[in-house]
Amino acid sequence: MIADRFWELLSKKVFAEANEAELKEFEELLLHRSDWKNTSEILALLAHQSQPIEKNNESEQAFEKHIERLKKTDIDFIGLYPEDHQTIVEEERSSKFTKWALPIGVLAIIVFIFLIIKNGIVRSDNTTENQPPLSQVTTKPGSKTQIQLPDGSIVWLNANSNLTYDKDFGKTLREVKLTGEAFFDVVKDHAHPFVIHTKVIDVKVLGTQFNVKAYPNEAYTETSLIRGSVEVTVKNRSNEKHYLKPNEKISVANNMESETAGVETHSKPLILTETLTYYHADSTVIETSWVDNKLTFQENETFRQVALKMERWYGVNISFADEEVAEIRLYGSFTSETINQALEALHEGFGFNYKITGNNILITK
Amino acid sequence: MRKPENIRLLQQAIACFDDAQAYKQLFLLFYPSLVPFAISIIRSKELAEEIVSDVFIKIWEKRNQLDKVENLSYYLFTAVKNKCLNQLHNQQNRAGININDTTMEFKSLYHDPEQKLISAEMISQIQQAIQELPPRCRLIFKLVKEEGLKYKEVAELLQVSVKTVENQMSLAFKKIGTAINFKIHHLSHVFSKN
Repeated sequence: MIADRFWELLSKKVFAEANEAELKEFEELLLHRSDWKNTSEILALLAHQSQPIEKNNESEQAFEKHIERLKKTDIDFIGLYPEDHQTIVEEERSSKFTKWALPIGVLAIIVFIFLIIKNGIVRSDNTTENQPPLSQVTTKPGSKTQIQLPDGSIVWLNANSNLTYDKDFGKTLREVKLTGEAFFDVVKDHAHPFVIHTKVIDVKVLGTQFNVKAYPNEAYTETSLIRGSVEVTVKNRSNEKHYLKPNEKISVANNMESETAGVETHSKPLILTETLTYYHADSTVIETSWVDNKLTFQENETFRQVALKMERWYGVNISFADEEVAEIRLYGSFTSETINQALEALHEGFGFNYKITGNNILITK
Repeated sequence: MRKPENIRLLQQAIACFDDAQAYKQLFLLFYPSLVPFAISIIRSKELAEEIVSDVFIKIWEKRNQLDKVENLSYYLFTAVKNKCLNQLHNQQNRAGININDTTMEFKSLYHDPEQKLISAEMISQIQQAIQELPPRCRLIFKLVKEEGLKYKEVAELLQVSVKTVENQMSLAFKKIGTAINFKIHHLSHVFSKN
């Protein structure tokens, strides 16, 4: 009978149904029966092995049948995203597609060759009129700007950043490319999702307020959501998707390779979702305070991270003569202060020294 | 067990983005287990498929609230059960839930090749042990392991006591554990000979 109790306790433990007393009892049972240990481990492993999702033709057919039934109701079923709809349409047509695949493929190659030749000639003529006209806004270190996009959405572009969009903006998608940092207030338009492309992530939204920070010289690309909802796709993680709720922030490492190389350059995991940070003094959201002309750093930021922000904010170069100083943790908030005033305040609060030579600042112990 | 966080993401995608692709994924994820579950109550494949489809139509219709569903697995199984019972009631054929002769099949176990502790042979041994479980025991084991339901949720879903779920789970573990034990002893015996 003791064996029956063992199986009961084991199954409870494995599926997190056991209370403390039962867990203790289980451990004691194992002490007496070491031969059960192996079995316990194997069963625990088995129970938590997740099944890979295999393609199941029967279910796929059932889904198509299901959609037919759904369409007969008066419930509207059209995926909001054109590509979502396409995937379903594509599958319906798959048999017809194979018939035409070869001739279309041949045609595509001919067109492709033609384009290569044509482009070759165009290039030798030194004309660029065939390229899609781009709108590009760039800010220098120390300056910020506000842009209104053709759809009415407003973008605040932080220092040392670049926002690009082409003439097709708004035709099917509202697409922009971003390096650096921007705060978006996107006008709602369900038919035309708004997509921000950065180096490591794509952010897709319908209409919301949020901040994207994608500076190449920082360890993480961050997306902070103020209201609405956004979909963040991590590009080099086989397009892994994350969804943010208001007041949440997702940080994605700019250099994913460090994981495989085993180099510990990141103190945080490669992808991390957390809540936004509030500056304790006046409960400003730190991630977006720059929009209100505030330079804010939170309590757990190192001087090295803060220096990057200050460099962009004031358009200066900051270097450290001492590694130890670079690692001290600073906090503070500046609005109209000059770089001299800001450094003086930090110097008083955190006890380091500094030397300003023109645009260059050297931090010493 | 399905990863609950994946299901949550699908829920959010459907609720916030009307994401048809996520809806399809959710359907494909649950269809293979919901239909046999419905068949075990209503005894008709056709009706069972219709009921599962109806439940998913409701899901799409009320998709804006989908984000608020805490445990979607439990929600779906309960919705299917209730629809089945309503149907039976309408047919004036109230047999109640009798899952003793359920036709529910257990998905073949997944063998992770990198998992050295468990050999492919052991998996087939375990597989056989699961197939030999009494139908009700197999169903309960499946709802806990594959669908990630809590004992209490399974008890409510199947209208049995939590103690029954505990007993059936113990039985399942005993049968599977014994199969493994046999394998371990058998192997060590073979090795000691060489």
